[in-house]
Amino acid sequence: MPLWVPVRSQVAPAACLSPSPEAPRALSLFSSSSVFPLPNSQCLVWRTDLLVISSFRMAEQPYMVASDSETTGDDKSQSAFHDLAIGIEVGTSKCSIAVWNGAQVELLRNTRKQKAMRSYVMFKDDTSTGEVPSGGASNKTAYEEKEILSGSAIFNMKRLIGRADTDPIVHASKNLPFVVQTLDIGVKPFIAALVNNVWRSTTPEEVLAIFLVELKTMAEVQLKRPIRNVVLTIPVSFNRFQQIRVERACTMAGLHVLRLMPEPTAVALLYAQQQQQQQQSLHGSMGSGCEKVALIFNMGAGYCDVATTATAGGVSQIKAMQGCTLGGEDILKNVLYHLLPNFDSLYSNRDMNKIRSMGLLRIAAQDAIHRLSTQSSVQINVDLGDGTKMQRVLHQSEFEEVNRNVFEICEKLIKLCLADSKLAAEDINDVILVGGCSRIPKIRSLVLGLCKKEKEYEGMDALEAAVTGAALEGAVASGITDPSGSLDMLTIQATPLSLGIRVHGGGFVPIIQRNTAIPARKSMIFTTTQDGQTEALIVVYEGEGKMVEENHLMGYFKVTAIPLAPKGTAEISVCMDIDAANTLRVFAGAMMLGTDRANSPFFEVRMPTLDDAHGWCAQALVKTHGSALDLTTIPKELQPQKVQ
Amino acid sequence: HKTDTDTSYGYQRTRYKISSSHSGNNSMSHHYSVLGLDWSRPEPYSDGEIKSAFRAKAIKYHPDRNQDIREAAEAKFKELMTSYEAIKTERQNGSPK
Repeated sequence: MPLWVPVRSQVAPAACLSPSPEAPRALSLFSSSSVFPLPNSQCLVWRTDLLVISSFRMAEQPYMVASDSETTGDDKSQSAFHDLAIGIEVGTSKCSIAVWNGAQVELLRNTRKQKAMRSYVMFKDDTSTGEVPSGGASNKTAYEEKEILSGSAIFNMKRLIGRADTDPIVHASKNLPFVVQTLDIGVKPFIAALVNNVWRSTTPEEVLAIFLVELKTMAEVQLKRPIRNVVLTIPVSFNRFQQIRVERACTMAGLHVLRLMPEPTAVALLYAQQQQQQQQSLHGSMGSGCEKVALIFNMGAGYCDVATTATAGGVSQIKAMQGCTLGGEDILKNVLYHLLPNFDSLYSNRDMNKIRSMGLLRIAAQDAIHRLSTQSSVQINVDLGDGTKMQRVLHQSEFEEVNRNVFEICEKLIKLCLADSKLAAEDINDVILVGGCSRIPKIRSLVLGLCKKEKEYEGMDALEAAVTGAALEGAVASGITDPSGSLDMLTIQATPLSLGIRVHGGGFVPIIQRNTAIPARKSMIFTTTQDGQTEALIVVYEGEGKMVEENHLMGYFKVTAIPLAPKGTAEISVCMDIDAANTLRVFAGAMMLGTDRANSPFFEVRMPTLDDAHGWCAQALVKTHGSALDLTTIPKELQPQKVQ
Repeated sequence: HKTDTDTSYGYQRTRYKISSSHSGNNSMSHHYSVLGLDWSRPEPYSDGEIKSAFRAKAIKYHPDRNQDIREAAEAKFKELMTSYEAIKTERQNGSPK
């Protein structure tokens, strides 16, 4: 069965998630002008811009995707763009796809001619497929948004993916219309959508995968070729677990992730291209030109990112990045609680009428926030349907007051980013504001004020910059070149989070510091803490906390064959390597005493090796081994020089 | 003094105890040559010259731009970053340019 079949019909193909008898499940796309009948009535109907799922069996097993070579051996396109990666931005609220068309980046539109499509998946039962309203990707009419907020749709996947049920963001998501349950033990949260008056469970990865199938199919129909490679943008603050979940969702959808790009780095690439073109038009030739420093502030519905970048000669080097889970969702929540202090009571018992009321209030509040970007006060009139009618005026000053905490965090992030990049406001040439929340007057004035600028950088669409950059990266990383030099640029990425290991006493020693340019390789020498210690645990963490428990445990392994020696004399080398695709590998082993040679073959471990419940593993290791396998640092002056 | 990467073990084969003894001219001249610069040039390089040299090499060696020889490009790019950092550190420390 070919993975991709050209589709002529207006009605898009149905995609199916079918369980194979073996544990790994295959996900394939079928072409059909109507709902494709499948065994066990496991079928997923795709209707150009609305996704409906019927009898979708939620699975816990990992998914496998049939590879192109197995399925499309006879389907090799002659086009140079056969493998050209497309850029996808899956936002918390909206999503977009862009592709290099040979001359420039083009954003794809759905059947409703929208470039920004609402990110959600609607779960519906078989029996209603015939009557399902089309037009899920539209947020023009209240009816559709109402439907999304009815409990039958899952959205905000980007805020939920890769988080444990102890995460405050997961807890904050409990006021959404669909079910988010936590048991607070450090495992995946339970999420469920309402189907036929039953809360049916799913997972954020699965929801994202279904959504990506929709996007993939849409792109395949429009570009008339199979899509496999993608460059996906992610928030700066995504840790490696979140990244892996996103990659897994892509795999489930039959997509291969060429790059996961922190959103501001995608914007930086677009900026590099614009600067390069400007230079060329000014000087008529490729010159390295003068260096321009830009601060990129990106805030969408779910996340806030700040980055600084130095750009010249088409090369944009990321100086520093900062990010956190903060966005329009938090602003909306603040406004909801301001409008209705007992908002909690609306969703606590999951009464259908209350869910509907909550949805109506969400829509009204969202609309008011949008209008406050251009008005100093807005009128809110909403009938919550339960006898409650809200009629009031919301002033911008009120709005700014209730969101003071949000603005404070934005300010903190910018200051941290400037400090990390050793830049003062005066060093910044351009301030680039992107993301939906960058349209909020207070946020604009705050960012510009901190950077001591009157005006923001012009020439970038706040909602399209990241996906455009992702498409540029897709073209560059697919090996496409452009005779006019439009693709002669590069973003030198940096790691947003430090990577290191645990040392005796529970301290965290970074080996690759945050904001290190990647690809990168750094190594450090550690030593034993016990006399005659022959084995050592290498426990790898990601984060910025001084103690390991503040950071994310990536995995662990044991170095063996340490030569017998008094404590503090044996040498254990730990090397961390991040390649261009952002894969982390840890190499470690013991050295022969007094030599620069390995005592026995080194270990190479791809990280993370862990999945869920990683907090438990760290505790279990300490409980079982105490400090018997601990390592400690050696004095700085004895470390191999950074300069090698 | 050679300080190449031993790929068989996948880590920098530099012995820390002797590392302080090889920070002399040899390795600095190597770092400059990685950027395509001549360490022995009598006239000191400006910051701009160093940056331009780095960028020119970065765009040449970055694995994104060398899909066909990605692994070799990775190694080359890492070497470039190491040398660039070394040169920046040396210049910040006020060593002779």
